[in-house]
Amino acid sequence: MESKKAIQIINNYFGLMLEMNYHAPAENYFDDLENVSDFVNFHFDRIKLRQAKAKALHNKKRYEEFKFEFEKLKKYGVDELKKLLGKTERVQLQPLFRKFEDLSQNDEMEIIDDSDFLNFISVLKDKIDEETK
Amino acid sequence: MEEIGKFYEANSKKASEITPLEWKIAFIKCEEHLKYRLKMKTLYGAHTEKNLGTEAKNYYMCFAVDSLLLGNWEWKDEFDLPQQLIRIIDSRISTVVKSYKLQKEKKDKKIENGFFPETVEIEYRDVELDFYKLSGDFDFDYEDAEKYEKQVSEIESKITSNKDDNLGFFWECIKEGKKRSEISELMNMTPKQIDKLKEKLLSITKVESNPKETV
Repeated sequence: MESKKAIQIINNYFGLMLEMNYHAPAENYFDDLENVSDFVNFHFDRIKLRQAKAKALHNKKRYEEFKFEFEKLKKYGVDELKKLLGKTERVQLQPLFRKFEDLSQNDEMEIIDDSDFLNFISVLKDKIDEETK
Repeated sequence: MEEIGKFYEANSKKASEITPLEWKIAFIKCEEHLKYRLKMKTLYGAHTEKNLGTEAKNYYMCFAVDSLLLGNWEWKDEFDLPQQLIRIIDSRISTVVKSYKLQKEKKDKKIENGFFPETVEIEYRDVELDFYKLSGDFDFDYEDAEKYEKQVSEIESKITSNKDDNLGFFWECIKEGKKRSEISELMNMTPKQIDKLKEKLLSITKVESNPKETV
């Protein structure tokens, strides 16, 4: 047998195994669940850790984005920001303006879960963007 | 790869719907995939055991899971979890192989440990076209040709002595490089029946995925 042919046959064999594994339905593996390998256990145990890590990274990223916008708005000044809004909007957003003025650094970390406040920041940001177009 | 990607929110929602059972099955399938894929690559010399080390399987698996959970890879609805992970694995292997090739071209004396590219490079590929040849740019490695010849001869002799016509035909299809659907059509069998033949082939030949080991 030619070497090339033998290698090609082994290659074809592995290729078919890959294809069959890829398409195999979940039920084909139910029996294997009773005795899974160390590899499977290791990666299964790792999921929760990686999900927690991903969430922490996501929060950090959101916080940094929020902080950037927040600092920009603060520089603009509350009185100037209020001028960008109509009378009704100003009244509606009054409590959030108060929060904006009183916000301490410790509160900032918690604020990223406050969707009303994030929305408020985003409204102000849009107004400034419109104004400075 | 420790950066949140643009698909994080969509992916984490989907990940929260995956049951522990589904994760385990996905890892079983990925381990099987990696076993064949990495050994297949030794046929081309790109992934010798020396280059890969024992951690290669874990490296690719971690990369795939992180790509999904951190949102660097789009979790597409048309693929189930094992298929998503397998697609990421193959994409990454392809990147690593390209990097190996580049280093080889530069005539580096050896591929050092941790030669995997540092950057997060994700290439979307049609993985099903790649099952039979992922590293098209490589030639076969003929260094161990004798071993492969011996392996094929031993498989054939075991199949002949088993006297199962279907199994013999199945092996002929493999030799000719027929795909799963073609074999199913040629043999007039369902994929499930073909799965059974595959199991039989594995059990009588004890074909390990490592071509460097004797049968």
